[in-house]
Amino acid sequence: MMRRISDLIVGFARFWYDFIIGDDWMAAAGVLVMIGGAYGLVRVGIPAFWFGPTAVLITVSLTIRRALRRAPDEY
Amino acid sequence: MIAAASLSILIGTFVASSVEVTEMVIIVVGVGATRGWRSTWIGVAAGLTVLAGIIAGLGQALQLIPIDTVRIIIGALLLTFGLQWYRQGVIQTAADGFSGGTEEEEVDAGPGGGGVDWTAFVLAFKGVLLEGLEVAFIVVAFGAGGGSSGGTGGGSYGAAYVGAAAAFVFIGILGFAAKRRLQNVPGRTLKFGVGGLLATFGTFWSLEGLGVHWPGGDLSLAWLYALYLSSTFLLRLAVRAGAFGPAPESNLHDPGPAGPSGLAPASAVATREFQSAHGLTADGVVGPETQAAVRSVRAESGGEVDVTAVGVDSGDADAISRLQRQLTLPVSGRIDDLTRGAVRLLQHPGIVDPLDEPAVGRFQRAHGLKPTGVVDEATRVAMAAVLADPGGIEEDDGDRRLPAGALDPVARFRELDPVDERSVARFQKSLDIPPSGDIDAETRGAMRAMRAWLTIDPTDGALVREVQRRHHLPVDGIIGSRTRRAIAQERQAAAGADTAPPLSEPDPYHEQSVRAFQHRHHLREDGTIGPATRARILWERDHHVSVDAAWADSVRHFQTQHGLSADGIVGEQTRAAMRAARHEREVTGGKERRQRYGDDAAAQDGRVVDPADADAVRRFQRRHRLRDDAQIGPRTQTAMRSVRRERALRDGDRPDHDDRNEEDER
Repeated sequence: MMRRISDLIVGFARFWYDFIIGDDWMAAAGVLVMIGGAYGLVRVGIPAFWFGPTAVLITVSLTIRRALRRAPDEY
Repeated sequence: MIAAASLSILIGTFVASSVEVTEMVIIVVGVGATRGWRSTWIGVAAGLTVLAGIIAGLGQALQLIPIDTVRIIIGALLLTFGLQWYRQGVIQTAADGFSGGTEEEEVDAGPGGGGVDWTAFVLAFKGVLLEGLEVAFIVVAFGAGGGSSGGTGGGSYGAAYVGAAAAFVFIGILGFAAKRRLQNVPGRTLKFGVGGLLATFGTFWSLEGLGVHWPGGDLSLAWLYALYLSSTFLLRLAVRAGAFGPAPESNLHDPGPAGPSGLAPASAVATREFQSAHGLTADGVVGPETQAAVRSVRAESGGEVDVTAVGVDSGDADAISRLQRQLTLPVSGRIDDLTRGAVRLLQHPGIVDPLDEPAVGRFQRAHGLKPTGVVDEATRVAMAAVLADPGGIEEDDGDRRLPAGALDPVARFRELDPVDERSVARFQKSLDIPPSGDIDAETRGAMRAMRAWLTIDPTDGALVREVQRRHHLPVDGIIGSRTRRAIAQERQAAAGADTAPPLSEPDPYHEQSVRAFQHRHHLREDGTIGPATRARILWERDHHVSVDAAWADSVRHFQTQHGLSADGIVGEQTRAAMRAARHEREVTGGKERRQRYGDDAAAQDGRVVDPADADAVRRFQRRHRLRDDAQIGPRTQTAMRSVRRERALRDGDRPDHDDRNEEDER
């Protein structure tokens, strides 16, 4: 019974880890940076809509770079 | 005046809700098309359930929910996940183009077997919950704005509810239409597009939750998506040019020995080979992952999957479900052995399912007829001719030639006896199934499909006209669209009207029934009518008046047949009836039975202890510390079954191992 519960908890945690972090933590980190940066801009009253897509594209570029340097054969 | 106000609220709610519902439907359709529909629908249902709970619980207090926080959380999660697909999409399309690759390269494996794909579930759930909440806010806002009618059930709220409901229905229908079109989009392109979509919605919602003002409001979603997609092309160029590191090599899998079309669902071996070649679990079942691989290979090779010729595309779950519905098989959208058997049937050149219009058209074209898709007299004649002589094939069966018509599956099906190994093998041979003589899942699938097909044999004009009469259609014997619908109804009714076989025999059409029979007789529970099960059925058939005293329902069956009170207990009256029945049977065929089984039929009735022998029952009860009243009630029956089980474990699966009287063994 305990084993079943612990398996469930581990499975649940693993699912969310895979969902959010996946095979590169940088995407999740990029999203956090985007949210933090946009929040800062909103607080100081600067329009921030441009910041989101910019941060996303930079994040994608960085994760692509990391992925190809790490294991180009995987793709 | 009030009506005009209500109308404006209704229209306002409809328009505002449509925007949100569109976003919801886009996510659901995108995720469903990419990850499979089953888990997506479960996610949608869960989202709607939670939403309904929230709305019912909070009512107008709904506005207390911190929607901005919800937007940030859900948006960030969608964005994070979407970025993973987006990145993979850029790299893989840079290497292989938009139409190649397999799904398994690009995302984590979906669910195995019938499990839930939690990724699809979560994505659909979040989309539905967030957008559903937004719609609920709109309803509250418009309803409260209308004000004067008061109460959530008042006129303003009523109009707002109707407006929102109309948006759900309208956009939902559009979504369904889009769903069908998306089925033809290659898996990689689809995933790439959906990754971009998730990133778009994620960016939009999370920033909106932070209070960022998007110029143009929800319309920003369009330019945002366009921006992400167009950036892809630049990123792909950069990847190819090596700007991010070593450019990835194309690694599209070799289609393997089965050729580019890759997969004939009628062959478990070919399916397993295909699965092995594509890094999938080689279970022979064409489930969502294998279907995705088939789609990818097909898209890459630009070719057709050969099985489209028999009306089912192995890469198309909906086509498989359609076929299963047509032939009254369990609808799973996967090609398992049962469905494979059905496909075998349809691969026979003379078996054309009249419910499958394109298949009829293909048959007509192949036989020089006008491809109308309608089964008319000329088509019927051609079908019957091919059925009796499939393509003029001259078959050799070892040294001897098969007689004319030997490969007519309809004739072989009609003579099929589940316990006659040779008749089963002949049926199998007529459909190119390995002729083992055993009724396994594949053979069962072919039998069930044949039964459905034969419900209204399309080659029999009189039968078709009879159906038309029953359904008040023009009686012309031609199978057009209305007659097709009538035939489908007849098939469903026939499948639903299955009568249970005699208690002593399993129903060969239903695996569960065979398993239950095997369980009862301690045979290996594989659902296949093989030698051991066949021998047991024959024995039961031969001893149709016998009773298995260890099972109350068998005793009840016997009691009912003999006009006794059906209490399931072997008491004096039942025992007397058993003796009488046995005597009668001895008179009618005891010698033959003894020759056949080399055993004493009287003893076989009891399996463990002869129930007709009160003293033997008493001795059995004493040995098992039961009250020795000679009545075979629940406790004695349990003891008998447990003795039988022990022997089964000890002796293996022989069908007759427990037929000896325990008395004889002692």
